[in-house]
This record gives sequence, structure tokens and C-alpha cells, in this order.
Amino acid sequence: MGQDRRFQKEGDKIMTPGGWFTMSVSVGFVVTLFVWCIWRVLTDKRADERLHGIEDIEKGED
Amino acid sequence: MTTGSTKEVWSSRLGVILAVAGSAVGLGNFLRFPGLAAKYGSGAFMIAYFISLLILGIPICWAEWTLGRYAGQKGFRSSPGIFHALVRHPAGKYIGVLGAIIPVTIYMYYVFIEAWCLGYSWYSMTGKLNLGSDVAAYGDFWARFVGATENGLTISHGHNQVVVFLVLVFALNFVIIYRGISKGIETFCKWGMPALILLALIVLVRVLTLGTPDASKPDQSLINGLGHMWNPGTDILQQLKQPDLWLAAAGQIFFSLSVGFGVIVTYSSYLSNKDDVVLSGLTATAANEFCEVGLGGLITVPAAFIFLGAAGIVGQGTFGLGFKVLPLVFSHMPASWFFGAAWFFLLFLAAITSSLSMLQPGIAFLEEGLGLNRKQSVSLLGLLTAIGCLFVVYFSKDLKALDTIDFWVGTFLIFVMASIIIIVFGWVIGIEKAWEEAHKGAAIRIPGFFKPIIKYVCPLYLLTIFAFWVLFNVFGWNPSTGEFKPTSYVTDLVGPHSDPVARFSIGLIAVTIIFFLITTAAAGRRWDKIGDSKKKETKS
Repeated sequence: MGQDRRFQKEGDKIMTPGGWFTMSVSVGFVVTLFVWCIWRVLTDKRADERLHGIEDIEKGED
Repeated sequence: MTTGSTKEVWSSRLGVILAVAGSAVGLGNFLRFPGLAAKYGSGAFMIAYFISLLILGIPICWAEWTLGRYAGQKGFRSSPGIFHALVRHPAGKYIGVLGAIIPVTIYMYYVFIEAWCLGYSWYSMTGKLNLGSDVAAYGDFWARFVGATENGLTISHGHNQVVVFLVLVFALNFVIIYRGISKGIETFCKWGMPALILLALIVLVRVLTLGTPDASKPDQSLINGLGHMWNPGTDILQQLKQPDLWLAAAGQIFFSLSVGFGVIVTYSSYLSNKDDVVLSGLTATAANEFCEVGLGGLITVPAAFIFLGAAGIVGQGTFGLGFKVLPLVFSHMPASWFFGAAWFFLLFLAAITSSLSMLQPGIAFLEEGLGLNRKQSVSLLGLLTAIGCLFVVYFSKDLKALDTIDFWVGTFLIFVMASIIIIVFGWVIGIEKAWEEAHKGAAIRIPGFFKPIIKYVCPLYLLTIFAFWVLFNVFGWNPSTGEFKPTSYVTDLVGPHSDPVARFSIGLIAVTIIFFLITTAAAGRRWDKIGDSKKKETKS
């Protein structure tokens, strides 16, 4: 994890506004996406159903 | 056509999502990602990272879920069988065999690392990891524990503690696998994944409330630790022109999501057309990203910075950060035994949910390819992986065997397999048919702009990244000077400085490949016979 000069940071010792922005956008995006997906899965009526899987295949529903 | 005797099925949608997410979430989420983001200037890295997620990670994920379910409807549950059904050519099963070889070979060394995590959790709880303030002491402890100083050290008397943990986790993996898809993998992931997230949240709250623990070092504060992790580079546009940044970001997305392993196609083959794959695939991806960016990105580097400063983190790789720096960090915290144990146990959970997914493709193949029952397939796979694992554990000096297998199978072959998957999805099946197949039973629709991404952008981007990876990591290309200097992965195998352990490791990989090729040939004959008898039945 040595700091390459090409990737020199704008502030080595303090959290800069750019750092707050990068962190907020990155973490905010993944948290929002995760919560939205889980909400969609849990509120989908079919989510409570047993998955159909191989049993349907054997009934010839291919 | 059904080929195997399995009657297995996932019992709930959340179960299969957690199983796939568990497969994806591993040590890389908590140890590798934070190190890369901090190293490559965060801002530019995250741009490349999210672009890679959009055009590489999510499309391949959807492709794998769809292809697995599609072939599963034709009665195939293993990667060779799945590609036999997809490609409709005798060579198809031999292409697909990579999806069995890759996870089974990776398991041989991954379970060893899993044992380290469980061992470190135990040692944290019992206080044996409180080794003072010198990071070298933690480095020595780790080297002795894993046998990095001498081949055979962990087998010898007095240094074999890791073997105890290895036997425990190895047996646990096979007990769970023996119980099957629903009662084994799904049940374990249903409590294991929430437990992992809960433990990570507990450790996160602890790290975010550390403040400035040492008043004599005011620079080493939480805010500055977050700054070290998240502050963007001084010139983001210039940094985005660096090919190694894109390689690192795309590689992280790629390996983190467990695409190209042969795992997702196997898991999704137990679904039917009525079961959603679009939302499920996206949710498993989102769960992985939440653990990686939302949890790993806020814990690892800031915690290490608070206690060691920037200098203490510099030069540490994934294992260095995870097993040398972080034990020291946790030993400095109040209630260190609890937070250290929680941290390493969550890493253990992340590892075991991944290792379980590495065994299922092998089990599925032995069952449907050779017609073995569960007990026989578990015994045979157990024997094969135990031999491979013993090899890795014995040749532990500098972790040469582990590193060599990880490079050629855990990285190189995964690139090959992922390229095959996305090309089969977009070009062999055809994007229109594949698109229609993906939306059968879908809870949400894939936005239309993903069509050209999946067909053109994703394969092109993947092959470009693969080419750069080979240039950098095999041929040792230096973009500044334009010179080529083959890396140690090449010079270990050929030339005057070759390493016998590296060569033996390639031998182990070769033996594994031969075993699976022979098995695939036998499976092909069996599937042809079943196909012929089905045709006769239909005619009569």
C-alpha cells in the first residue's frame, strides 16, 4: 500500500472536502442500492413462495 | 433431459441470494479493497471501480445467473453439463470443466486461509494475540503460525496449531456440503451472512467511536484515518489515465463478485423459469458492495491509521494488513479480546460462506457426471481436496505453493472463464434470446442500455483488462519505460532461477485438470447414453 507519487493525495493528514464527498457518495450509493434491493425482495409477494426449482422440471415444465 | 439423481432445490429466494452473496463476500472485501482504494487515490479509484461494477460486474453476474438457470431447466447442475447444454457441441463440456476445476483448486488453499481466521479469532479471545506494540512480533507470530519460514513447519511437532483449526474448518465445510443445497448451504448462509454483517457493524461502531485514542499523537485520529482512506488524489483526470489504476479497480470488482468461478451458474441451475434472477443477482451484488465499500471501506484502513499512522500501513499487502497490522490494532483497543475475536470471526464467516460455494460445483459435477450419490461424491471430493490442501500446507515457506496456485488458477483461469461466460451469453446464445431468458420470472427489468453493454462493451473491456493483466503480471511490462521483465510467476517456472515448489504447484494444477478432463469424458459418455435412451423412449 505504498503511496505512488502518481496517486498523491490532496491532503495526507486531514479529511478534505473531497474526501468527505468521495466517502459520502461511495458509501451512500452502496447502502442505498443494498437497502433498495432487500426492500424489493422482501416486499415482492413471490418472495414468500417456495422456489420452484427442479421439481417443476420433472413435471415437464421446461 | 435430467442427468443426475439430485432432487435438490433452494427453499427461498432470500436463501439463494444470501448463498450467492456469501460466495462473493470474502477476505478481499475487508482487506484487499480498502488497501487498493487508499493506494490509488480513492477519488479516481472509486470512479474506475463503479464504472467497472456497471459494465463488468453486474452484466457478468446477470449472465451467470441466467445461463445457470437456463441449463438447469435442461437438467444440468454442473458447469461441464451446463456448457454441454449451452454450447451444443462436444467441446462444450470441456470448456465448462473450468467451472469445476477453478473452485475446487481454489478451495485447496482457501480453506487454509479460512483456518487462519478461525485461529486468530480464538487467539484474540484467549489473549494470545496481545503481543505488544511492535508489528514485527505480530509478523513473526503469523509466519510461525502459517509456516511461512520453513516447508513442513506446520506439520512438525510444536508448530502444528494451524493444523487443528484446518481440520476443524475442513470437516465443517464437508459436513455442511453433505447436508445439501437447502439444509446445508442455504441454512448456514441464512444465519452466517446476517451474523457477519452484525459483527462488522459492531466493529464499525467501535472504530468510528475511537476518536483520538493517544493524546500524544493528535494526528492519528479517526477523521484523519478516514482522510487517509478517502481523500482523492490531487489530479483525478491524470490519475484516470493510468492503466494500472483501471486494472486494479476492474480486478477488484471482478474477483470480489466471484464471477467466472463457476459458482453462480451452479447455484442458479437449481432455479426454474418462474424464479427471478435479475433482482436476485442485483441483490447479491449489492450485498457484496455493501460489505466491501460500506463496511470494509470504513473499518480497515481508518482503524490501522489511528493506531499506527500512515507509516504503519505502507507496504502491507492483504495478508500483512489482515494478519500483522490489524491484530496489533485490535490489541490496542479497550476490550481487545472481544473486538479482535469478532473481527476475525467475521472474516472466518466471510471465508466459509465462500469456500462452501467452491465445493458445490465439484459435488454437482461428480453426482451428475459419474452418477455418484451424495456420500460418494463428498468422499471423493474430500479426498481430492485434502491431498491438494496438504500440499499447500506442507509447502508453506513464503506461501509459495499458495501464491502460485492463486495466480494461475485463482486469477488467470478466472479471467478465461469469465470471458467465456460473457461471450456465450451475448454471442453464442445471442443477446436477444439471452435477454428474453433473463427476464423470465423477473421481478424487475434490466434497463435497455445494458444490451449493448453486455454484447459489446463488457467483453471488450474484460479482454482489454485481461490483456493488461497479462502484460503487467506475466510479462512484467513497465509502462513508463516500455520494458518487459518477466515476473517471478514466470521465472519460478522456467529459466535458471526456477523454484521447485512453484513447479510442483503447477504439477498439482495439471493433475487436477487431468482428473477433471477424464471425468468429463466419462460424464459425456453417460449423458449421451441418457440422451439416447430418452430419444428411444420418446419414439416408442
